[in-house]
Amino acid sequence: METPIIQLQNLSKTYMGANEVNALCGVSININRGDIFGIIGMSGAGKSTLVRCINFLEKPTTGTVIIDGEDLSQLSEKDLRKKRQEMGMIFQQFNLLMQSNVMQNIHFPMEIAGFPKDKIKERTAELLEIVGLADKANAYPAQLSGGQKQRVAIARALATSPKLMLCDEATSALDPTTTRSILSLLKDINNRLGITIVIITHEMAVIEEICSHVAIIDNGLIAEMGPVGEIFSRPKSAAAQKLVFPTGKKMAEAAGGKLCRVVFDGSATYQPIISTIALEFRAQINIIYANVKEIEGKSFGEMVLRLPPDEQLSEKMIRYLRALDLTVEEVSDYAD
Amino acid sequence: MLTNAEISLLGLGLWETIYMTVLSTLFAYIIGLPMGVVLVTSDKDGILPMPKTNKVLNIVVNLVRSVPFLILLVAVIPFTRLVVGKAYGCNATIVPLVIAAAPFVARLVESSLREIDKGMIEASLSMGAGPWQIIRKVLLPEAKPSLILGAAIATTTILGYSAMAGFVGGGGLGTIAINYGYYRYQTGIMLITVVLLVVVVQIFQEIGDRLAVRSDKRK
Repeated sequence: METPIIQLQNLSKTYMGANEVNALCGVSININRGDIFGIIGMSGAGKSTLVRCINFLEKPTTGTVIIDGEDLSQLSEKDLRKKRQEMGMIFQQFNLLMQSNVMQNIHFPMEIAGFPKDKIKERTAELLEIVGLADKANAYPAQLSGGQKQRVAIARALATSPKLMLCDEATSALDPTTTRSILSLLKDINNRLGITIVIITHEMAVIEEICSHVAIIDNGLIAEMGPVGEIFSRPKSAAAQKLVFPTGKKMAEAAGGKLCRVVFDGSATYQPIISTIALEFRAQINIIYANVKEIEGKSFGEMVLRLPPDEQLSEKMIRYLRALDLTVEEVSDYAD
Repeated sequence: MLTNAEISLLGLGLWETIYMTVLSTLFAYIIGLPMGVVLVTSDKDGILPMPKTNKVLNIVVNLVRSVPFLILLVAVIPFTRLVVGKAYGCNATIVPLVIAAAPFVARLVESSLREIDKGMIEASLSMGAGPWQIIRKVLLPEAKPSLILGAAIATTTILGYSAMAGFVGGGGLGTIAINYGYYRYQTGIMLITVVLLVVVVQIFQEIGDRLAVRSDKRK
């Protein structure tokens, strides 16, 4: 197997100060070439620190960062700067130069890298085409919408033809429609250019939309990691369950029994399970939520059911559902 | 009414005042701009932390700024003689003006540069930019409108200082106001110099404001 493009080994980061803060406590992740790797967690979980360790904007207190076979801590300042040119980065607040127009913003990383003038011009035209902003070359960031600004930032991040791209909450300041269009642009870039993408987010929807793999970070630790489909259908850790739970918050306590999340993955035989249960057990179940999602080209159905108050009966129901080879997990005890 | 001699006297004074102000501002920026940049970059959170340099520079700036200009003017006379050859006239006034204004300019530049969003600097670092590239391509261009406004403040302040130098024969409108208005009780001449100073300040400030607005692409 090919060596991963990003190898994070046992990273810890402690911020000294009046109160010591352990932002990361021994995080190890391998990210393979061509993956779209999501890192998800609540705010304060350490994900922003983690992504900044990948390009050494933050130097980990202990642990090793190996990018494409090179240990970043062994590089000189100058070599580190060169290395950073192989990693594009985009941000929640876009961080464009406000006094420069779109074209000049895209020129910037290439000027830093010392590209010749005619090459810069040529590449800028190409990049504007890729992100669909050819008509905005002379506009200033203040004249653009959020989505357009992020497109400029993406063009800028791609300018030096990086091997990987880091996205720090890149869609968190955007509305849902714009988020979708930015995510599909990222997916397209990943497909066409083969660039490995690392996405930091607090929204499960972003992960489900484009990521192939996900790591869930909680309190500076990796709670769970794996292919998105697997984590979506069988979340093991509490942090993962909390994230995949559809509404993202606790359902209002209504009369009735346990809440259960049922996931049908694409391979499950489609049976009319709800009506079967109702007939079989002669009891009512309430569908609280239902949805079908496409994750990595596979359809997943998920449903949240409120089972009858009778403990024994609901236990039986759960066993019945599991026997049908569905993933069922109780979510009633989960709270914010 | 004014005699022809008085008019040409005032004209010369006006020219000298503008000459001193513009040249002093220029020299004050040649010294103060780099100082202001270093104050920001050498800070512990800056792009090139140098705590000792930062501390020393801060002390020097505060020290010079706390000396009243009139005292400084007299105190540096030996140095002024060394540089210009004499201690009176407008060329001689430029020396203490620059010494007094450079640290002030440094503070103005510092505060303009501190307004810049840290995210932009982080983005440049993520692209592999070095400190020099960040100063030249991010800090200074991004702070341009604010730097221009600062320059207008510096110019008008220096103009005020230059009038103060009139007490020691510094030349310009200040000297005329002291010699004719104060020592000879020619209130008319004094009022005219004051009006001229007000007009010059207004013009400098207006130019600064307009340039700043025109250069700002944030709206």
